[in-house]
Amino acid sequence: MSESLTIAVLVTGPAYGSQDALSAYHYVKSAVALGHTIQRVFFYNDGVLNGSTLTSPAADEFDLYNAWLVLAREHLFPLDICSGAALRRGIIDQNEADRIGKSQFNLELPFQLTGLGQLAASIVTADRVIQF
Amino acid sequence: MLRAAFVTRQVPHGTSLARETQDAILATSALTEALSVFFIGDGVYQLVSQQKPQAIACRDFAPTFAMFELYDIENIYVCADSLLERGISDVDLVIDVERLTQPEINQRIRQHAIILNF
Amino acid sequence: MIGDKIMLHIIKSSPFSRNTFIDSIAYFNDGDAVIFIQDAVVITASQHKYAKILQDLMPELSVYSLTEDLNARGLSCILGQQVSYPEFVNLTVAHLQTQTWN
Repeated sequence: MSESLTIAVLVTGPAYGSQDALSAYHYVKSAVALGHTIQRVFFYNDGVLNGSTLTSPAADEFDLYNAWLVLAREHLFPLDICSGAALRRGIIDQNEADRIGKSQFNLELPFQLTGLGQLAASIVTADRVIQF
Repeated sequence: MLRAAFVTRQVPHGTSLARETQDAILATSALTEALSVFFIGDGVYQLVSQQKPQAIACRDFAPTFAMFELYDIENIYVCADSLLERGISDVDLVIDVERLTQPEINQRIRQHAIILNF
Repeated sequence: MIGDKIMLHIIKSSPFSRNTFIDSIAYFNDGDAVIFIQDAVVITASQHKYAKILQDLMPELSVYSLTEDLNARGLSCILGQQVSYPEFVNLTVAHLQTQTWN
């Protein structure tokens, strides 16, 4: 494949409990290896649960949270978490925790809270939006 | 070719997917008018009027479909075959929406570059 | 190569527990492709009523199943072609439109 595309990936499944996020991860990993550009991975619906830094798989199990982090840092694509969907599911960063008076937070970079505008931006500009 | 098709296939309230799809549609409408919304399968239940989800502590988001016009979302279609299959062809819907047969819906969906199916 | 084919459908769930595959069939056009991933790989893995339905569509439909998901379930496909993740990516590139049936 000589030409490369700009691909956005939409994830609506959680880090554990359904295969969607794992499928998305393997898809993204293969896409970057083939030279395509991942514009962003946008986490929506239960997909926002991928952003919890408290996710603690058993020691002999695949650590999807860490895998996203490594892949995103290596290939410089954003891990965008929809803030509306996230706050409703208890996924919250330090800024939001301070703003609404929560004593804890569980979302850290490179995962970041963003709005649906980022998904919309991918919908209007990406060559493909692949949904898992 | 139009830009984005949102295909929505869920009964409201049992999961949040229908409501969150509506949010995604509204957000996308800020960036493009070349988008269409298709209510197919169980998604047709989202348009039924007189929903009272407050008693089950869910958000009554059906009235927000009436806002679509203000957001310049004009291509809104409901699958007549899905309404018929579910025995709700003659119930009142919350908005005036174009009824198409399933093959017509399929044809229209294919006029979009990006298709999101929830 | 890029975008020279029209639509790729992505199917994820078993037809024995969810209606998604049956519901999606009405949206398959001649010349489309479909890839079965996750639990949906059971569709192409043995002879059953849904495999029969798929088989009847296959002259006009390109059928793929994700190798990793088949292997994970101890299955192999008897209908269509097995593809790995990089080939899955290539399919999403080769097709102008994709539609995931949740």
